Amino acid sequence: MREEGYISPRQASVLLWFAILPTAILFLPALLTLRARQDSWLAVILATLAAGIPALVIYLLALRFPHYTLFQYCELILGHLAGKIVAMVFVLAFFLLNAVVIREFSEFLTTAVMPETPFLFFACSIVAVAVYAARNGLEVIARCTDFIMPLLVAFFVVILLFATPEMSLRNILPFLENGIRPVLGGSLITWPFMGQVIILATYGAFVNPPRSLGWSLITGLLGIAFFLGLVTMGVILVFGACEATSLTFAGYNLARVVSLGQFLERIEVLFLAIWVAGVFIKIALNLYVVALGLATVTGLKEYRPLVAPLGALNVALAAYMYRNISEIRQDLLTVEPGWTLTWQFILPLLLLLVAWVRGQRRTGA
Amino acid sequence: MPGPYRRPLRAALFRRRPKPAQQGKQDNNKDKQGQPGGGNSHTAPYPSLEEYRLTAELKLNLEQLQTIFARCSDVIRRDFYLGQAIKVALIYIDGLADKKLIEDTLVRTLQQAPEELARSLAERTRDLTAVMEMVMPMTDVAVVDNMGSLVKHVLNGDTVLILNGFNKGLALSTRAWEHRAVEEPITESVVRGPRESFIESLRTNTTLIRRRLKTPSLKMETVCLGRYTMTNIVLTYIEDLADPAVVREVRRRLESIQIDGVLESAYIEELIEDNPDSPFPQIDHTERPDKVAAALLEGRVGILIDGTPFALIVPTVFVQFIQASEDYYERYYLSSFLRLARFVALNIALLLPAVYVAVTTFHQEMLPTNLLVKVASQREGIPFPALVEALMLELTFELLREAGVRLPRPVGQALSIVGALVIGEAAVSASLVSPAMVIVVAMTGISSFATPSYSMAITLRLLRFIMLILAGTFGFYGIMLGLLAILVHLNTLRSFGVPYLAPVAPWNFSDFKDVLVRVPRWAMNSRPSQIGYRDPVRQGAGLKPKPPASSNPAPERGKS
Repeated sequence: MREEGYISPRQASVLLWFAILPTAILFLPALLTLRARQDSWLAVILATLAAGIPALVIYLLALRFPHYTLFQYCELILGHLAGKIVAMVFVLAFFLLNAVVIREFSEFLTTAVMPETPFLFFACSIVAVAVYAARNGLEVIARCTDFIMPLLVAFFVVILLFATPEMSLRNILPFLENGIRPVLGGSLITWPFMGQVIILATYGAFVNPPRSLGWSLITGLLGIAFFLGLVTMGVILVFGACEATSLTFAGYNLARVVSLGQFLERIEVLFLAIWVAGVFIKIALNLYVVALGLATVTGLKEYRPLVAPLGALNVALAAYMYRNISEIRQDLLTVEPGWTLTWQFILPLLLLLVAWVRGQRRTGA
Repeated sequence: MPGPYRRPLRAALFRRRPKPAQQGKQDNNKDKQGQPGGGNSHTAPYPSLEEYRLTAELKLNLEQLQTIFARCSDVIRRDFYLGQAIKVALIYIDGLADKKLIEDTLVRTLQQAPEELARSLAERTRDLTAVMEMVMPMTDVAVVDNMGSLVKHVLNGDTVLILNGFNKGLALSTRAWEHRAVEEPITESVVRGPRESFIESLRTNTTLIRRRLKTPSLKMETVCLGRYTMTNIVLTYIEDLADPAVVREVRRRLESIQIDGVLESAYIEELIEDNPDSPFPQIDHTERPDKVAAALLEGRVGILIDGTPFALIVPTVFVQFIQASEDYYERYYLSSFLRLARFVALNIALLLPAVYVAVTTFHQEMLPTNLLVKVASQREGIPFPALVEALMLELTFELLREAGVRLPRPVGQALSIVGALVIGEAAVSASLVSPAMVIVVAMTGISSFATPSYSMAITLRLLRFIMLILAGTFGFYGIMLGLLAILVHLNTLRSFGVPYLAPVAPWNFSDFKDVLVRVPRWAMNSRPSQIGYRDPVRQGAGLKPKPPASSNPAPERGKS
């Protein structure tokens, strides 16, 4: 099961940004301030450092099995049956993750923007476009990011720059008021988002040249930490830790306060546009990974026929999973950290250990 | 030798030939014709014309030609004696061949050839070289030995001379037919820059290119397409710069075409493009020789088609459609500004009505209060929702444009006055549409005219309606969905192996020098990396002009 076509290391790292940032900038600041209060930005940085460990695991696995996806080397490491089972766990985990993302996306749009439209409409429409992108392969998704990424960066800069009049430096003081423990707790909440670096283990196989995967991981993580830290910092500086906890969609609210003279107002519509594009990439990428994984596990030659049915199932699962937005918040706070820690960190680490013990590698072939 | 010539069955005409037979071997003197597609010499119920060899018996040849050209009143045949010794026949088509040349030079010289010479020629039969060396007054001569190439030469405007006692004929180039003079390009006129345009005659067009690129590396391969039109198509490229894989692919796609006729470059375009289902044009066309020459210098491949002034350029990327050749002839600040303006115009042409509808229907909060009040008071009393209003006006605009395009110019002007002033004014005062909507539609129309490429403007016109409906139903979210779908679609496109959105996606920073801005000529050091990578260096480094070091003469001592 090979994907035809390769992506450049730069595209890989930008894809990594898109795999984490879009939902993180929206939901994370509010959740973080709940635990870490005004030190949330520190929690983001700590979480990035922590995400460096799974990134290292992925990198070491990729060095052992260059040109192999996560789903393929599961089988190479663990043997036929156990490998297939573990690979299937990964497939299901990505599938579940994508359902969460779809639900987050549509809940946000119904809650914040178009309250009278049923969330299912947003879920169906975005997944339809994502299916179109995923069917066309990784190269096309990567090229879409080439187009959207400059917009995203420019937009971050504009928002943060124009929000400066509203910022007050006193909001991040006192520093480490309650010691380091809340900050560590905050890092744990950041984990479900940061841990998604594992997605690079799947499409990383198509990075050309494969040796520069390390570079992609490092720049990807640094970029995520930079933008996420900036947005978290911006939210705390503008709203203060107390108010930020009650803002479910912190990034969106940050865009709302931006006002420059009488001219540049209501910038949150632009935020929506770019954010929709970002989440679209995230969903398309996840869908692609799920389809690719399922095709690998089942031994199909083509992943393309799987994309559309998987997308439909994903929408159904997204509709079934939560009842409302508070459940998503609750899930992100309590359930997700443990679950993601299991499959995004412990499982790859076990894979690496087994591969190391059994001395398996596929290099030079 | 097959039997007497009969018309082949229709099916036999279009049967694919496995490998073109060795025709064209004989006319290596003059390899202007390519291989015609179709016609099979082995399995067809009737042998093709190429099977009929010329015989030494003039009468037999003429009988067969009589059958082939039966009821063709424009074919002229003239029998006479070469130097009163060899009976010869001339065949040409009235109007395609230069009659004056034939009568004044050819026939006179041949008839007045010395009798002894003619007799000696008649004895050395089968030695056409002697005829060419001793009596032939023309230079561009090809030897034909079968009916197929003979007929093809005649139909192309050559004069064919068949001699009694020789089993070969001579095709003499006498092509001269009526054609338009080289004029100013109509669709791509410029303020500054060459004013020559291609015309319908292929040979003139190749000359226009050859005059600009005086190098033997400029290759011009000919392919002959169209069973009935026998259209010559020239594949032109600079051998050192063009990617051989692209040239090979273009040649392969051209040669695999089996068609009855080629009347315009669009026929070829639709038959060779990579994504035939896409609404976007994937092959650029132009009627400017300088634009083709510039494209060839970037390593692209040009396709010239006989009978149309439009040449095709492949591979094509999206940004070519917002570039105009004048960008390179004006100062680079202005060119860059105009490019940015065109990019904005492109977006307006696609999105403005959609955004207006989305704002007035779903997102009124986006507008500043003053503007909102103005717009709302204008929309007061208008019986339609904004979407219907926009669709109505857009449709009216399209109808006006379509009506104006085909009408003779004076009538067209009257129509545009009626349409623009009377209908627009009346619709507003009858409060069927709001004045703001008229402004929006007018802006959109102007913007779509500002796109240099008409084919891209057409695509945007179509997509605008889809965006309009999306905006009217789902607001900004619908617009975003539409844009994302378009973005994904554009990213799936390739033109002869080159990603359509290159160099923006995939990103190539050095190629940004010619996308939204045009850097000055002295900074344009490399060719586009996806296209001209074989020889990336375009010019010497450090070409930026500087004033000489001592431009001011040193002041003379003692003075002042």
